[in-house]
Amino acid sequence: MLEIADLSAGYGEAGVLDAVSLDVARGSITALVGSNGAGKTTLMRTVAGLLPVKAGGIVFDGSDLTRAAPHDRVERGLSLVPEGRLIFPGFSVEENLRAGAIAPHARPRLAARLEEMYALFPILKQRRRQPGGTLSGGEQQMLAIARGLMSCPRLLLLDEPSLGLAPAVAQSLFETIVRIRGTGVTVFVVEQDIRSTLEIADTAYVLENGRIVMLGTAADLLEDPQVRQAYLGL
Amino acid sequence: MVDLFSGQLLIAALVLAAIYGLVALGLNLIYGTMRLLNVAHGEILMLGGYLAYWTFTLTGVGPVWSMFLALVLAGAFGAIVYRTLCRRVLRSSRLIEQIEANSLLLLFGVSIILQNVIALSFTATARAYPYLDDIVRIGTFQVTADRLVVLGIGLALCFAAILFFRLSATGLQIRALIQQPDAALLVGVDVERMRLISFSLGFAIAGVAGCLISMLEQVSPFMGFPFTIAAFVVIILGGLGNLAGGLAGAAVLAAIEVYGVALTTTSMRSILIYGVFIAVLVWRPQGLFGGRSMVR
Ligand SMILES: Nc1ncnc2c1ncn2[C@@H]1O[C@H](COP(=O)(O)OP(=O)(O)O)[C@@H](O)[C@H]1O
Ligand SMILES: [Mg+2]
Repeated sequence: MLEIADLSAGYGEAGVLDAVSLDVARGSITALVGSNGAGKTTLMRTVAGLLPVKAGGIVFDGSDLTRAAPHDRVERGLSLVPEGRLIFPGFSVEENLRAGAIAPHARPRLAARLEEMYALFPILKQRRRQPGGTLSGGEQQMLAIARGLMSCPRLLLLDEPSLGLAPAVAQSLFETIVRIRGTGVTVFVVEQDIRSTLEIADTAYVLENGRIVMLGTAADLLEDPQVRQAYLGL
Repeated sequence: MVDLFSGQLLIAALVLAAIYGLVALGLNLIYGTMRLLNVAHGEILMLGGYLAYWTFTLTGVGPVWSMFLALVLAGAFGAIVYRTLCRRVLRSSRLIEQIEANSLLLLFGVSIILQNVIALSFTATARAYPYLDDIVRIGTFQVTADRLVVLGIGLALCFAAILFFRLSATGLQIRALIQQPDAALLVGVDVERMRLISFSLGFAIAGVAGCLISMLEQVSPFMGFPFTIAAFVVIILGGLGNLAGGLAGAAVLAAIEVYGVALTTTSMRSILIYGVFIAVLVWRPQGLFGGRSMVR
């Protein structure tokens, strides 16, 4: 569904990603793991169109997105829930969600989609009139995910959704990701909590210093001695 | 001793508040969506004033109608300035690093050019025209009809703007862009389009404000600058990028100016405005309302 080929990108002159290639299969949960500073966020932001591509290409559902504007990518069904959430702090919860459905193809479905999001995250319905900035960290993460889903994406990119959450909240978040995939949305997730991520993912890639150093089924990586030593502390 | 509760003063304060509100709205939009400091904003108002003056003098058509022409022409001029100058600055990775300072210099140049083009074309003489200056009595006080018209149109435009930003899809996108530009890109806001709309709308409103002001004050090539300064004070009072706060800030500054001058002398006007400017920058740089720098 998403094919990234020999992608190089970074900030200004400085390169971060060095010829990264990976595929996200339709209907899968695909994970990208790697230590801090490996370039995971850079990859996600490049796929969403916030950073320019230096070399290589991004193809989504058969169409070339390498140079597409960010809003065109949203219109084609790609949505990123960014690291640090970036909700609109002064907007109410409901306005945040309405902003999420600003893409032309999503607007007619706004009302129905809102109800689906309130069903998925009942706490957001209780807080619908509250400014987004007053929510707790976990609630803000739910809001960011719900906002990302408001554009009815076919591929949802999640960048460190469990960052800063209490363990119990993080655990329910992984269950939510599985449920989102169950509604037909393909998920590509970057995570620090590598064990929980590999447990729900189908395929996983390991990124180090801007290069893919390992890939395989999530189950295989969970058993891999190198992964167990380097990332799971076993 | 002046009567602080007189209807005249109240109307004067409300008229000024509506005008400051309109001028500041455009400045705030352009700053909020692009981080451009449009110091040429007052000159757009000045152009609107001249348009109203010449339309009335040459054809007898009043500012209430030439206002619509000003809206369209100033809006188109905004689109041209954005497309030819500002977009280049926003796209240059060297200029974008200090976008505020660079835009200040660029638009300062635009402002000086506009002032001098108008001074060359129409001389530097201040001009006025008689329009709706019959006196209306409301209860115990009297006011000229033009003030009531300016007040009515000005307040209507302020409220229309608030409704537009609250209720329309474009308004939501512009507010999203002001609050969190990266997130706006991620939800699918067409940023280039919103910037163009903001620039054009900001200029259009300033042009209309110029038509309204020309009903009350003389027009001259250099009339714009004091309004630019007042508008900066207003948006600092209301919080940079906070559109509704800007309208409240306009009311506060207008009240300070009108009642301050009434209690002292006309020569206190500039001292009051700059005094408020400095006081807010020093003690409440985030604006009068709330701790967040950008609310809505
Ligand atoms: N805005 C930025 N400007 C310049 N360099 C950056 C910026 N953000 C991140 N980097 C650098 O890019 C590299 C990869 O960062 P990032 O993609 O955020 O890593 P990860 O998400 O895997 O922790 C790091 O070396 C980091 O210092
Ligand atoms: Mg990261």
